[in-house]
Amino acid sequence: MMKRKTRTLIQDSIVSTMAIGFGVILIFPLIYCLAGAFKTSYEFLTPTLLPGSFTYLDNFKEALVKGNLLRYTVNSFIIALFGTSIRLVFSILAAFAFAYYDFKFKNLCFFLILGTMMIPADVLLATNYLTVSRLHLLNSYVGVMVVSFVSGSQMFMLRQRFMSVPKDMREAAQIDGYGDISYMVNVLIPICKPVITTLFVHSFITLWNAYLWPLIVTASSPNMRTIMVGITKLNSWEDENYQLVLAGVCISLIPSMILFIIMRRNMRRGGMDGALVG
Amino acid sequence: MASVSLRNIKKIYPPVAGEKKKHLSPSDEPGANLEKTDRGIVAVQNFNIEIKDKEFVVLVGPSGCGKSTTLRMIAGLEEITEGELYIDGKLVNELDPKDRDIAMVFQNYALYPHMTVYDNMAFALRKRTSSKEEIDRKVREAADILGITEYLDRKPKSLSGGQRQRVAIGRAIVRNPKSMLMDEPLSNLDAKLRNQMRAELIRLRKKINTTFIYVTHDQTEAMTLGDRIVVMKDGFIQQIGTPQEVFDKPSNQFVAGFIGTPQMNFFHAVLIEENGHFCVDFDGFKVPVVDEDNRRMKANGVKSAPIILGLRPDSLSLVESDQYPIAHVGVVEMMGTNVHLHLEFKGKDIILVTQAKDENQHLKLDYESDSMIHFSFLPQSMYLFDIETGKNLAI
Repeated sequence: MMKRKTRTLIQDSIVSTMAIGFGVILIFPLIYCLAGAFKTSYEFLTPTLLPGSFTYLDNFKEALVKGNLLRYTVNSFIIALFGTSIRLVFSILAAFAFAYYDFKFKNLCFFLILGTMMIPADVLLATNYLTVSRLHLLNSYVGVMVVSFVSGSQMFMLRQRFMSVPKDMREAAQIDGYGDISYMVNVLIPICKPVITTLFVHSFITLWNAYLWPLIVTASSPNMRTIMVGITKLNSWEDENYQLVLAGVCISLIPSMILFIIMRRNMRRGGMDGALVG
Repeated sequence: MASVSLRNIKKIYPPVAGEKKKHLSPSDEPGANLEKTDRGIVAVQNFNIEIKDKEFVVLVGPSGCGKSTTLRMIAGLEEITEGELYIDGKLVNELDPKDRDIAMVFQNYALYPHMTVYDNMAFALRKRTSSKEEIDRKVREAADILGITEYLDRKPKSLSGGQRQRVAIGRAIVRNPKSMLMDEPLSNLDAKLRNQMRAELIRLRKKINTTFIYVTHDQTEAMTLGDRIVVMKDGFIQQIGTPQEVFDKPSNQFVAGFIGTPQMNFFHAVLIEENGHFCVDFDGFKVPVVDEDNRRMKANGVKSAPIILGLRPDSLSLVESDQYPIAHVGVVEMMGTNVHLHLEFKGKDIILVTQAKDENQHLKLDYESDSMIHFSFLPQSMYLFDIETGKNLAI
C-alpha cells in the first residue's frame, strides 16, 4: 500500500505536467507571433524561433505607418467601446424588465429573443448588409456597430443574474424611496458588477476581433476599416510580409490585454456577500 | 409617530395564469385552508384594527396565515384588494411605499452588500435630500443607539448575524419613520442571540417613539414585545388583545393552543347543567365550573353538550391519590427548573409541567417513563370550547 502522501504527490505531478503541457500549447502561437514580429524578412525565412534581436522595430513602424494601423486601431476602439456600451445598456434594461415586470406575452417575447441566439450571425450577413446600406450607414461607425447593439445572450445572462438578487433588495430600496431606475443604478448594477464586467470584456473583445462584418460594411472606404481588416491588408499575394502581419497582430492584442488586466479584479465573484443571512 | 388603521382589509391573490398545479396533497402547501374564490386565493380578509400612535402591535400566527401579507400591504409592497388603510388619518391605499413614511426591517435583512454600514444607513436619507451634516448626525445617532458605531466603515459581509440585524434596524430607524414595520426580524438568529435582541428591541422601543408593527410566528416574541397581539389564522383575525388577555381569555381553541408553551392540552368532555350550575364531566369526574364563568356561560346561552376542555400543562398537577385520572408516562424531559412529562391519557398525548425540585431543593426523581401517575387540576384552570366552532364558551 502506497503512502497517502506519496500517492497525492504522484497525482499532483501528473496533473501539473499535463496542465503545463496544455499551457505551452495554448501560449505557443502568442510566442511565435511575438517572436515573428521582431524578425527581419530574411530571418523570417530561417527555421529559428527567436529573432536575432528584440530591438528590431521596423515591422511595427511599417505596420503602423504604411498599413495605417494607427487609424484602424482608433476605429476599432471606437466601435468596440461604443458598441459594447450601448449593447450593455440595452441588455440591462431588457433584462430588468424580464426579471422584474409582469406583462402580457412576457414569455413569448422572452423566447423570441432567446430564439435569436440560435440563428448564426453569418446567415444574417446578406440581409443585414441590405438593411444597413438602405439606411445609408455603409462606411460609417454606426453601420459597423449597429448590428451589435442588441444581444439576446447578454440579456439572458443578465436576467438570470438579476433574478438571483433577492426581491427584498428591491423592496428595501422602494421603501427607502428609490424607484426602478435609481434602484438599478444604485443597487442592482453595483451588485451585479462582476457579471456586467465580464460581459463588457467579452463583448469588447468580440467586437474588437470582428472581421467579416466590418470588412463588407467598410469595403469601399479604406479609412473606416477596423484593425482586423487592416491587418489582413498588410499582406498580399504579390508581397508576402508575414512579419508585418504578426507585428499588426501584436499591436491588436494590446488593448484587449490591457482591458482584461484592468477588469480582471472586478470579474471575480462574490458581489452578494453579506447582503443576507448567513 | 402615527396611528395606523386598517378597515376591512382584504387581499386576493389572483390565480397565476399558466402555472401548473403542483402535485402536492393540499395539506402540504402553506395556507392550504385559505378560502379560494373565482378571483383567486383570499390571503387576508376582514382585517380591522386601529393601531394607536406609538403602540407596539404584533401579528402572530402559523405560516400562511396572512400576517406577512398584511404587513406588506401596510408597507405598500402588496396592493390592497379591498378595504382602506389609513396612516395618520390619511388614506394611503394608492400611495407608493416611499410616500407612506414607513420603514421596514426584512427577515433576511436585505442589506445592500456593496455599501458600507454607513452608506446602507444613509441611503434612504440621501434620497430625501437631507444635508450632508444632517445625514451624518442622524446616522451616527442611530448607530450609537444600536451600538454599531465602530462598524460604520465595514461592509455587511464582514459582520456577524446579530450585527447585520442591527444594521437593518439602524437603516430603518435612521429616518425616524411614522411607523416601523418588522417582518420576522429575529427568526434568522440563533436562540441566544434572539433572546438578547428581543430584550434590545424592548429597550430600543423606549428610545425611539414610533408605532411598531411586528410580524412573527414565535409566540414568545409576541408575548414579550407586544402591547397588543393580533392572532391570525387562514387569513382571519382570531383575536386582538393584550398578551395577558390573549393568554388568559383566548377567544377560541386555536388561540388557546397557539399561545403558551408547551401547548395547551385538549380533552373531550361533556358540559352538564345541574340545578342552574354548570359542571364538566371529565372522564367520569365531575368538576364544577367557577362562578364567574358560569355566569358568562349562562349569559351566552350555553346548553349542556359535549365540549372541548382545555388545560394548560402547568395547571395539571401530580397527585398520589387513586381517585384521580390516571395516565401513562411516555417521555420525561428534564428542563432544569421544570420537568415536562409527556403523558398518554385515553390514547391522547398530553403534557404536564411540574417542578423538578421539591421545597428543599432536592431533585424529585420519581418521574420514570413507563410508570403510571395520577393527575388533577383546579376548576379555575379550565378553558371550555365549543366542540364545533371552537369558540370559548366563557367569554
